[in-house]
Amino acid sequence: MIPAAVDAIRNAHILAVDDELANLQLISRLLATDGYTHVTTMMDPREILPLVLEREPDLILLDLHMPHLNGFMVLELLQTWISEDNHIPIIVLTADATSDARKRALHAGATDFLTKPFDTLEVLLRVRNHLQTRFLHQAARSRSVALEGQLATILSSVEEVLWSATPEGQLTFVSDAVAAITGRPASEFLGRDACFGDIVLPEDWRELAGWPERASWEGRFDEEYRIRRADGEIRWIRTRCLIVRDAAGFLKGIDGIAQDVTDRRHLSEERALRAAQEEVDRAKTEMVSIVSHELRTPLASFLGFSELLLMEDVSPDEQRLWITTIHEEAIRLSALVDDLLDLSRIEAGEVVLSQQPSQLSEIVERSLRAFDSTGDGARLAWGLREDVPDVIANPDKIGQVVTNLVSNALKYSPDGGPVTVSLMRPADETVRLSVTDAGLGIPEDEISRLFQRFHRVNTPERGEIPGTGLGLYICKQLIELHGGRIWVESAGPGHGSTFSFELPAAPVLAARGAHG
Amino acid sequence: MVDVPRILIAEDQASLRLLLTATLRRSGWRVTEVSEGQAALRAVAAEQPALLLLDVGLPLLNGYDVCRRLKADPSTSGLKIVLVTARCQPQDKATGLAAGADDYLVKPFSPAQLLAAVRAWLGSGAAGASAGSGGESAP
Repeated sequence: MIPAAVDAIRNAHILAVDDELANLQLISRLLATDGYTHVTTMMDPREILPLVLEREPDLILLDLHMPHLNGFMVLELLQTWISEDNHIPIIVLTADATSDARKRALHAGATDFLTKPFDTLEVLLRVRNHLQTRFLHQAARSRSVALEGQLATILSSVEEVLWSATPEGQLTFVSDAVAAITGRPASEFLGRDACFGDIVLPEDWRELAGWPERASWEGRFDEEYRIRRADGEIRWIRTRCLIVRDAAGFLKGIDGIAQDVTDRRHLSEERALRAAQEEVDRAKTEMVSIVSHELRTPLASFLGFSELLLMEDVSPDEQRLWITTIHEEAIRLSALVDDLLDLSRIEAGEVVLSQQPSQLSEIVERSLRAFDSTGDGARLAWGLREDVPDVIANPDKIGQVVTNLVSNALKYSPDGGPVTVSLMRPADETVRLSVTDAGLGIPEDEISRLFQRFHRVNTPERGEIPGTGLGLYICKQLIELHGGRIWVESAGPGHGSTFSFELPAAPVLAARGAHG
Repeated sequence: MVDVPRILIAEDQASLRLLLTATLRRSGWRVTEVSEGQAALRAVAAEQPALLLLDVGLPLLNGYDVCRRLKADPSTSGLKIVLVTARCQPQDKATGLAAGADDYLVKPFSPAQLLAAVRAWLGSGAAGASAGSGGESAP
């Protein structure tokens, strides 16, 4: 035993309680022989509680059979009043050597039990052992209090919320930082969902529900979602957690960190907004450049051929060829102007379609016939042609879409390959038209951007395909105005592509008409 | 009579190709026409033209790339190349010149402008049949 510890033990405060003065004197002398200087004796057990509470003894020597309050009752009283983690050893000294008394005393909270007449050396050794245990216990307790204090200091200085939860995701611990983030005290969360499920916005909770199973299945968890603070404000929370398993691999619990990432989210939203604005600006610049390019080509023809026509000795054949070219370019220019007008009306939300029950196959026939005069008619063929119900549509606009898809298909099948048009009824209320070519095909990364405004296909073989990049965008807008959808499928470059759109079928009554 | 230099026209828009060939042929130049970039490279090798009128937006291989390849090859680097384009932003012109083009003709252009540009590089080598203005040529 080290000297300092010996001193602590010698200075220990020992309380001896016995109704017989002779016994108390005997004990005092005995303790004095071993160097104990701080011994309090007491004859009336009724005084024990005030003394214990006021001047906490380090050890109590207690007689069992006393008037007013016997030793068992004293033990029970002390057990009630002394907190569990404040370990005060109580040694019962009694002449009652029955095993019943021993069991009762130990059960009532006695630490040790010695029967009279006792071996003085044994008493002293036991006193010393119990005191030693108490001081070790005290030292451990103060160290753990200090650690708890340090931990609390650390936790309170950490903005992130640290928590522990059961495998089912119920909080067993949550740091006070939760109050700053949620506006609610930590105590409100104990036993509740560790992702603060009680205050997560319902639409975000739909994604989050069942997270403990997912987290333990995947071994990790990192999600961002929104909560509503006590003051009603909505904040973004990021929660990451770690699955804790015991040595045998069984799920022991979940530890996690939650932080408020609202500022970062807002910042990135701002950045996204700015990027979107820049994209719009870029698209505008691009539009000016594309439109001017597309306008310049026909203009170059007008200017050039008219100047040539004004020259002398132009042969009639040349004249005819040049005027025909001017005419064709004028048609192209007029189509471009139409596209631009469509674009500006669509973007301004000004397109009002007069719609009527129409037969899609008739619209398609009309569009296809227009290709006969260009010499491409022979490449066009009907594929599957199912009997389909009418659609409610504006025939001109749908015809425009069909023409656009077919002329694209012809244009992008450079070897004069066939183009197939199919009419289908994939569902009762849906009519589908598909235009399939065996041409260039579309690279996978282009498919999602194909219907964007001003987007032009870029292929490794052909570079950027010329054009305004407006046609498919306008098609998409027109089909969507009809409540339909448009998409493209392609097995990749060199494997052709299929453009399809679907329109809702007209209600049967409207299509058949009333009988009278 | 001196052999009239040959001019290669690489332009994918049929109407503009016709305009270029008609204008140049009327002025007595010999003309070969192609409609995409790879064909332009083949025609340069086969016909050894004196001048290439090169559209920028060609399929398969665009005009800038055609220009870079020809200027990088010692056997063709002497060929005069005039880029013909509707791209008129300053950076487009910079790209064209960086690719090694000798001149830059912006659409829309008049036949007179075209002929002037051609004469600037080839002299009035086809003056005999010229319907344009006479005589003066750039150094």
